[in-house]
Amino acid sequence: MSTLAPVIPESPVGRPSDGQVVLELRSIRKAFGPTIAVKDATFQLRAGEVHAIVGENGSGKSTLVKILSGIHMPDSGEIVVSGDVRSSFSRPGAALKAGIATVFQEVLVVETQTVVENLWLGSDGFFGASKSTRAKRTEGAAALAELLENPPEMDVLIEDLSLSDRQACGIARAILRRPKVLILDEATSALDFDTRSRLFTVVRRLSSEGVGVILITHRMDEIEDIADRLTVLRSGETIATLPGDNWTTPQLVQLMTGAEALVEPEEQAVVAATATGPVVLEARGIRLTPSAEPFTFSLRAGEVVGLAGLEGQGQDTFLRALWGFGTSAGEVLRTTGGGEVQITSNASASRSGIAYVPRERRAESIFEWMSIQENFSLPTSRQDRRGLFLSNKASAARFTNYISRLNIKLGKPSDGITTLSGGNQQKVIVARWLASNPEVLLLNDPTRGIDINAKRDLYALLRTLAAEGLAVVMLSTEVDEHIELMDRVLVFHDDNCSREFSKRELTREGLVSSFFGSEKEVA
Amino acid sequence: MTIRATEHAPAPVAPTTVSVPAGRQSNGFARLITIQKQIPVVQLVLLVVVFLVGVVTLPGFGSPVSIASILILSALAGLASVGQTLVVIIGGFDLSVAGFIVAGALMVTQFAQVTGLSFFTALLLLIPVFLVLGGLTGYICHRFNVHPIIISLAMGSIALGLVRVVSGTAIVGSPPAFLRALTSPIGGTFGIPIPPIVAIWIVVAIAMALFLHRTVAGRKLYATGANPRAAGYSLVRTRWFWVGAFAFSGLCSGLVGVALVAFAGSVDSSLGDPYLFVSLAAVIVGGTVFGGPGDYTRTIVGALVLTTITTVLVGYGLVKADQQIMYGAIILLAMAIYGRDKKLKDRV
Amino acid sequence: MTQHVRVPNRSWRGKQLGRKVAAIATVPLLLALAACSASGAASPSVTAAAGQCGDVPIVAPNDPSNLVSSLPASLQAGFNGYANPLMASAWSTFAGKKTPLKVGFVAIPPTGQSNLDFNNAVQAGFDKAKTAGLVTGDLITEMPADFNTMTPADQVTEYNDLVSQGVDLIILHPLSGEAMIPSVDAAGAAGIPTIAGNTIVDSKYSVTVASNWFNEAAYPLAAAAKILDGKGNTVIVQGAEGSSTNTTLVNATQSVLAMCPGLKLIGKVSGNYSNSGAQTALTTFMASHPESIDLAVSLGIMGSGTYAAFEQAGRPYPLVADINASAASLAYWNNAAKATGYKGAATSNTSTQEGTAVWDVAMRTMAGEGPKLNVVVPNMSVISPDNLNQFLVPGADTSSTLDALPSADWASPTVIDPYFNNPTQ
Repeated sequence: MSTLAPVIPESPVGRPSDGQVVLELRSIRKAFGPTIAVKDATFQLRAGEVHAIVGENGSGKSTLVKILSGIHMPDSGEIVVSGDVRSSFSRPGAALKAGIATVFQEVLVVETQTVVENLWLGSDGFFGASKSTRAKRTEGAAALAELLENPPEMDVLIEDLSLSDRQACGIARAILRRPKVLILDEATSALDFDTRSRLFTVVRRLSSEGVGVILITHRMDEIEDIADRLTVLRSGETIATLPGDNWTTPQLVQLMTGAEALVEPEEQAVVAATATGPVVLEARGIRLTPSAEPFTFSLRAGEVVGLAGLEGQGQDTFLRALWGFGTSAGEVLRTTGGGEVQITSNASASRSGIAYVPRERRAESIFEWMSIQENFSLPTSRQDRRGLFLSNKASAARFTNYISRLNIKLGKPSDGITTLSGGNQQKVIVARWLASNPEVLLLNDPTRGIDINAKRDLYALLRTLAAEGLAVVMLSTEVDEHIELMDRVLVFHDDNCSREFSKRELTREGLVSSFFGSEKEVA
Repeated sequence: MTIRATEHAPAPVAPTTVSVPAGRQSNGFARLITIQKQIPVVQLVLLVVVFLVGVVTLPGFGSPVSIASILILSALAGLASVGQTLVVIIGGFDLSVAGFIVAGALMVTQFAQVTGLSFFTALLLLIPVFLVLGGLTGYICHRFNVHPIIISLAMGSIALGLVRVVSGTAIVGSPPAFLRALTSPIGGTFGIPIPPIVAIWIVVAIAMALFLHRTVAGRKLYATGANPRAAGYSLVRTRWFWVGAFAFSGLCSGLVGVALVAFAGSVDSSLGDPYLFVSLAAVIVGGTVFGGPGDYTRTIVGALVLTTITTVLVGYGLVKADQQIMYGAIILLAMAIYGRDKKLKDRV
Repeated sequence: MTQHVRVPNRSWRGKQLGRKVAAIATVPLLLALAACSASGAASPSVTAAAGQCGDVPIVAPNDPSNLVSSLPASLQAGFNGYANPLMASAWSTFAGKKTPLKVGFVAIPPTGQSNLDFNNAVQAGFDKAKTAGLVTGDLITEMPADFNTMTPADQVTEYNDLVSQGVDLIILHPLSGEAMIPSVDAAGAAGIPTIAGNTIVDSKYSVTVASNWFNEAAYPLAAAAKILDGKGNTVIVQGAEGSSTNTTLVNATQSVLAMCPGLKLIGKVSGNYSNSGAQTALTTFMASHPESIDLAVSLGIMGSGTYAAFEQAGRPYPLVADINASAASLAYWNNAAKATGYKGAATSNTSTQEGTAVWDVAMRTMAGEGPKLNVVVPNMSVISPDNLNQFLVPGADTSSTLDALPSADWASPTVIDPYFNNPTQ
């Protein structure tokens, strides 16, 4: 990766800049197998400041938070908490004890327990309670009253609350621990507008009392509202730390994407002209949620369409809708020369020549103990039937085709699928679906976690297939992939298809800034 | 991406260590484990050793009648594990075996007597009833995502209860005389000196091997167990495989009940009890893992191993409690060998 | 077949569990264990009694208060080797209660013919008494739906429920005698007698009608030893290892064998009171024991499974000492006797007899007849080649599910009367 990105020197501005450093990360590194999630993260949090951490998907934000809350242990580096130098928190309890409380994006409450039990969850020791029940109730009620206009009774079961109120309970739980450092990891995404405003008021109060707050968010308006400083992460490295009142969105996007460093001109030239094949798939009046805007999408033979956006903005729902999982409203139609077929189920999608490569390779595609060839042939094993029984020879003959075509590197087809690298596993999965002779191929982030060569092979393959008339829709979390591969890109935001880029319009900055919604449009 | 030619050779760089997985020596032990995953070598060796120990130390152990006895007991255990094997392959297990065995035994005896049906009519009636009851277990477990422990156990009681509604509350009954030849060690099949029940077992074994390895349905059954989510994405109707496996298991248990009543000559409420445990033990000892891999051939080896060990232990005068300890130890060993690949959370 | 010997199954299972837990610690000693068990020797608690092979060993009953001596001499032999502690009945001076009586019945669900017969016999007794105006309402019967899942605790609950309903008398068919003792004591102190059948409740407030299992095993076995001339290989087919009834039966067997050095015990198998279980266990046993087996001791209702195992293996029948013989096992005997002159030895009783006797004892107690002891031991029916015909069920073959025919004097008034202080019948 490049280190050419401009490192903007930290400016000594910011309201509580004189605050003491309560938390410091020094050269934190964390790898999961071959994937390096955090490469070199260095970061300081002062008492009384609200410090936003921003970065693209996969830039290492969540890993960093998990290290800070004792869920992951870093491979190297140091964590300094209130002057105390340590290499890691061995467990969540240790982080909490050091005064770090975290609220995660996922709403973590025990649904079958009452509000008061949730607020004090885990605060009691094995023997005896930390506080009297009465104290718990009054303090808990006070904390919730600060966050919610209509706070629930202490004895109400959590499962009877709205999602937003549940998350408010989760936040109140963190606040009640009287932390020195409060981490809000996209904790606001589940909150309604009113509660979020109240939360920010509480955050302001806490920071004025000297608490350091780390805010992870995708929302530029939140950063603008409340952040005293912000740190940009890219590919697991801290790129820059900026003062809260001295940044622009384009500047931030550039820092997040490292734009100039990554253009590969020779790939750009290969791009085909906009596909002009017949429409093979149409989505009409699709709404991804009941409140979302309806939109229409048509896919032509021979084009490769990318689906982009921040994590969980509806692109996944849309892609799955194309394979018959259904949506809130609208219909998906497979159009052929012979007419239209409505796609209502996975089976009808498959019958109509639509293939789908799921997102989680291990959880949704691989049969771990089965052989490579069995993994390849499973959905199409009918083709290997000779008389009553399956013919291994027939299956092998079919597979041989794809080994060379997809450049799959393997020992023997009868070896276990797990003997292959992730990239080759993914190729086998793609081969599995190509074997069904689809006319529409849907791929859900197929290059995630696979090495660069396998990615290149896959791109080349998709290009060839598209040239042969296959229509491809591919969800990707990698910006470069969209720039490099797609004929056009649909961007999703808040469960709406917020923007469409044609090949000509595609730039990294334009694409990334569009992820954050249309209100902060790049010039 | 193209590789640009460099003007001059790069300075000597330390060879990039393309991380060779440490400790992956291709020594004999590793190869043994690989083979063990294909063929139950350890069990086969154990079987041969135990058998030879029996032959050498126990006079008359190797006699034809003695071997025929072992084969009959193994066949009963093995046939009781046919359905269990399929259920374990899809990642469940079936505790209805005991209840279904007694219900099946009652069906062709007391039930037939009370209703005035002939043995064969009762047998024909048994097939759809037990398929439906077993299938219901699979359906409920899959549809409502509940563990089969409770549902299958309950279904065993329900099956028995249903049969008893007709046959009367007492669990009694005796088989027609011709049926008893089915399980006699001195009996033969069409002139071949093999007890009929053993001949049936051999046919079932061949059919199961063909089904599991050479049919589309067999392949999909494995996929259902190996990764239900991926199977769903591969358009395998996993629910119907759950229904099918449990239905088949229910039917098998019912038919084993018929074989057992032939063997024992009468029905009693504890007829099926030993076979619940044995059916699971044979599958596990054979080396079939929850969710696969595995197959019925391994279960056969498991049934033979367990029966032979039991017989030899009895030859040495071990009492029932000692045998049970031995069973437990063998199962633990099998789980240690085969369970290691899977994480605990996958198994629970 | 059935749990005719309705031993306390659950208490057996409880003990079994305890054994397993203890045994886990000894897994490394398994091989040593195997070596030890191989001898299959007599248990140390069994001492050879005076006498010669073929005699019934004379063993003093468990009678701390010397109560047996107060019984007529004709009954005293029936208490030979009696294992449970004998107690003087708390109702010996009980004046009875005013009729009609409200009666409760804690039953075992009828899984087999035997439990069904027992329940029917009690019900029949009640119906007869109702016609005579001795009882009122219905027989309040409490039993769980399913035998396989019931526990002694269920029976305790049911029993206490009947007490709270204000019954005058409780008929009890216990799953476990031990579990019932506290409840029976409490009800007895409050003036409610309990009459139990088949399984003894060691309480002075209950009267149990049950066989003396020591004699039940010792008598036919002694007869068998005589027939075999005290020589031959012996295998014991026991019921539920560890249950108290089984222990008594095995001890009795071993004390007879102890007097016969020529009868060699070559193994014990467990059939768990099921013919299929006995047959499986014996088939396994025979696969590793090719030597001739001359005597098979079936300790309770497993006679037909014992015969069937030998028949199916194509081996000659041993002499089957058949405790609690059934119509089927007697049919095996009879067929073999006709074909080869085979001679057997057996005892029998029937559940109908047992249920009838329980009701009889209950009515006598409530009429103020004054039971002397906490048990009533019926007159054992020993079956020999000479009287086999009296017990054969006409038309029953080897797959019959019926009990053997009852003997007339198993619990006749002449047997029962001496157990009461003032018998009026």
